[in-house]
Amino acid sequence: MSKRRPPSQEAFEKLLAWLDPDCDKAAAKYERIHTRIVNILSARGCWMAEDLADETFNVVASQIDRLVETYDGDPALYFYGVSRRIHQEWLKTLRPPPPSPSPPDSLDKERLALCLDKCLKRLATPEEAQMVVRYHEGEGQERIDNRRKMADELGITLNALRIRICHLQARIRPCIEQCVDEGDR
Amino acid sequence: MALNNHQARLREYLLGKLGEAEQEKIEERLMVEDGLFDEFEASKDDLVEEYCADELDTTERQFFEEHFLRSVEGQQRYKFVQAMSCLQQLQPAPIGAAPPAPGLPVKNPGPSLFQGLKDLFANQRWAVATATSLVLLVVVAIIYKQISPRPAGQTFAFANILKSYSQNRGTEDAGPTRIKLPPNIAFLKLRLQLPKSATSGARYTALLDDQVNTKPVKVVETDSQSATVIIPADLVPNHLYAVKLAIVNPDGSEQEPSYRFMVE
Repeated sequence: MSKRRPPSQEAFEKLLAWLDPDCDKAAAKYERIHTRIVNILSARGCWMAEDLADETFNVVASQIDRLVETYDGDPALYFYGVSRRIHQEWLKTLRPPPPSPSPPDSLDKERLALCLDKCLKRLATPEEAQMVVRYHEGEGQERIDNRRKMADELGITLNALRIRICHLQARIRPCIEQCVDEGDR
Repeated sequence: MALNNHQARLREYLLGKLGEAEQEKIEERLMVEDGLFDEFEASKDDLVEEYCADELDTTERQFFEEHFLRSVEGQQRYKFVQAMSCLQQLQPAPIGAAPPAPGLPVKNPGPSLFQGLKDLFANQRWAVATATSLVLLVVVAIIYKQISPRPAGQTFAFANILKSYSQNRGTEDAGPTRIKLPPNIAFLKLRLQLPKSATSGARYTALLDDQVNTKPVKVVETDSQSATVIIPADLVPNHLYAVKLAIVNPDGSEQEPSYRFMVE
């Protein structure tokens, strides 16, 4: 994969303005597009998704003058198109992938559980933490029934509960990663 | 849960069951549709959970391992489910298999750390409000046991969270915390609520006192409210014990709260 130079400050500002004339909205759109590219590339098995998303933004920034003049449509789709090409480039220069995750041993599991506990306390309200823990209670049908009961109690659909839990977990995951890494040092 | 069309499609996408053109179509929509993107994220959580529970078939499992789980994001989600399943798996499966210790605030027979965590979060506000006069001792007992091998590596079992009160600081002593240990326990983990006067940056050491001898035990974690120690189970046959915590504050002042517990 060829490395492009990061955009100049001027190009970067033009790119933000292209996303939205309002600075705050532009920053939010930038973040949203970046996250989506990372998550799509991750789903495709790319273990350098963050790097490739950064690369995508560099490429788009390098074309910004032309895009402002000629591109018609949602910028997110243009970013996506560029990210696809960059991903294809990356696939051609592929190095051996990292190993698939192996089941953690006893100490890893203990550390993970401690980190989860710590991060729930740090990042979630007691009610949210209780909700996440309860959501994972039980196995098989018992778990499904448990989730249905939770949704009923909250007065929301099962799918709304699922999405709510997904957002909560997304907040907590990076903290667990950091906590485990700190334990490794 | 029955899957709606979106969910089913996203699931196929994540498991590599769609052609390139269909994948591209979904990805374009993911870039611009917030609702679909939320579904996408939740579907990943579902699949990681199913992967860890060995509920995917061989082909799905292999594809998921070789794609999403190799990404940084996939590994983070995998770790999260492992951490959560670690707590969840360690709930005693058969109801009534392990009776609760008498007088303990547990909801189910054979309470677990999982249950205890729930209780802790539920009672956190109360605990903060009443901590001014009584020091709360939260005891987390973790039981490790080997269970039949599964891909997710289920090697733990958990006991429960217990509450008691410490002695030795002029506060009322409510007696030792009673802990009932199942026979296959490997370690006991105790989370000791720190006195209010403990300050951040303090150093901690701990001794297990069996009323005859004292042995050092490992302080594995501390935060602003508690210190956690791990004690090998073979050091605590049924008997009365105390963990003596030595706290050296950054200003050089020292405290030595003691936490009594009875193993039954």
